[in-house]
Amino acid sequence: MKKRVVVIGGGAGGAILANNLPLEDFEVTVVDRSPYHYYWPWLLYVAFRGSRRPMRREIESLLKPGINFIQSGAQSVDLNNRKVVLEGGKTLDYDYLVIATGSRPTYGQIGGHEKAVEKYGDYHSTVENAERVWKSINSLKQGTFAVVVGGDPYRCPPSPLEGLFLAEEFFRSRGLRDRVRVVFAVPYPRPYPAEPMNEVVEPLLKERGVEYITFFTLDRIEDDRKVAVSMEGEELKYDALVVIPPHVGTDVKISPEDVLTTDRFIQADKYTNNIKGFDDAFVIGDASAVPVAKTGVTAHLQAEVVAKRLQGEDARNNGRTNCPFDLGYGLGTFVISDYRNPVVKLPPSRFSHMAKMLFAATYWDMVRYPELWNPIFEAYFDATEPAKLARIYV
Amino acid sequence: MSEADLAVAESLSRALRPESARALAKFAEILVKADEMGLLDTLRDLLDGEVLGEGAKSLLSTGTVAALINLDRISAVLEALARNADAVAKAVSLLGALDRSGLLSLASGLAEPEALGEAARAYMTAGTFYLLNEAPKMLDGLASMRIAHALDSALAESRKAQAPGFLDALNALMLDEDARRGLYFFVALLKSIGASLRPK
Repeated sequence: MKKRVVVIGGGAGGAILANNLPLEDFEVTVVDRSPYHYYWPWLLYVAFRGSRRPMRREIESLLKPGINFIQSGAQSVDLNNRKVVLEGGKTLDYDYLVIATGSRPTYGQIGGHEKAVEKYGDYHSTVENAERVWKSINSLKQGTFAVVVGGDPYRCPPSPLEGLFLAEEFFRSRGLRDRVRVVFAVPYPRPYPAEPMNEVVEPLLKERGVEYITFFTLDRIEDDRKVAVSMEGEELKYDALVVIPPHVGTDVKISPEDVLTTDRFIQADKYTNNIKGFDDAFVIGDASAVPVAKTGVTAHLQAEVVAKRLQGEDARNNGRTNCPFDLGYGLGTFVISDYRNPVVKLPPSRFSHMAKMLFAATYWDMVRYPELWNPIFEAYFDATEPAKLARIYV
Repeated sequence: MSEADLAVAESLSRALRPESARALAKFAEILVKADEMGLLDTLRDLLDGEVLGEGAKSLLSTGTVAALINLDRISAVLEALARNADAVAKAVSLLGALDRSGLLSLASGLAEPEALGEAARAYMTAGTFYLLNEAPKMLDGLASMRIAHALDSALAESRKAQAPGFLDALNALMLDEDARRGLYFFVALLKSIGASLRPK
């Protein structure tokens, strides 16, 4: 008899997990409120390059034939009784549950945040908001453009600096760099939290004349005065600003509630992704509270591990990250680390930027065709283990 | 049917001879396999204009362009290809030749996820990643040294009928500022390589 697997969420983690399960052994049902799967990293290029390239595909088109797809939000999950209740009231029973609902920006923690997003946009929420950023930078002919990290956690750790670098490149390419000041404010002690990558990034900021303010914990935005104010009372004057919104976890009601953190991320074993106290339920990707970066690569790797575990293999996550990091002017790097090794100090290269672009173009195929891509990815991740690269990039 | 349509039909019937049918069938098998594996979708996605543009920008460094300029035969080959426009007939005859040589069967055998996975495992190493990541910088470095000109000039000097004596060579090294700078470049290079070879 086939095991019933319910996957809540048809994004990177959910779709990859579903496609990795052999359908002769599993009856797989994917549930998602949206009919679309979004490639969220592309919001960066909508915001700072004005890209119009489609960044979504129908979830059903990315799932293998034979996988059930239900377009509906999940209202509640009862982990003790193995039940998922959908928004329409329908109940799904399962043998295994995988929660892959991602994370979402929240605008209630910083005063004036919502109003600022309506006016200037951001690139962690919707295509419309990313298009607002593009409009904002196009209409700024002089003054200060600020990127402010509004708090932890947020999707894609390099994304604040990526936006900053692309904005700087944008103003320089328009001949406005002597009239537009580009400023970056973070709550951390340095521009990039991990020191080895900061050693790559900070010289570039200096070289390109980007100012940065550290230990700036954003409290409120007073748009009538055009200032962002920190908790310590420090004021940052701006003419246009983009705030990286702090994210929260799932909006699905989960019982028992003690598996959730206060900001609604789901606690799980960092090696197996088992939800705390449950052998038959998993959480993967951004929805989890495990101490790894919230990125698609992480979701992908966790999905593969959980798929193997469901098939009886003792697979384990090693906390690997591999975040492509655009540095502007056709340069890029990767943030590569795992649980046992710190971030590798990988220098800027045109290859890394190209690899990011090629990855974005073939992303859909990697989701849809795991038989082809899994061995290639395994070879790549093996070749670029942080311990191996650290011997080259000292 | 218009005159242009008739010309196309005639060209196709010339190309699709019975003897090419077997090769076409094999090629179709490869296409089906490639489609099932997602290779065709990947290729389609990579052929997007924006992706090609970004790829070109990343690949075409000063060093790459300098290297390509030396390969002037490429432009001659492209010109020759452009002069022969009957692409369908050409492709089919090429398929026939590929079939006769056994390459189509080979390609069909290789179009398996396991084979591609093995290839990835064999060639994707930390060294491959390093070389790919650093290639643009290395090419720019070679171009900044005008390496092709240096080779030309060194070859011309060294091929003179009269070989320089040991003292002549030593003299050049001691008195010529550029020769000393070049030698020091190699000393600095050796020093850096030596540092990497220190036992850890």
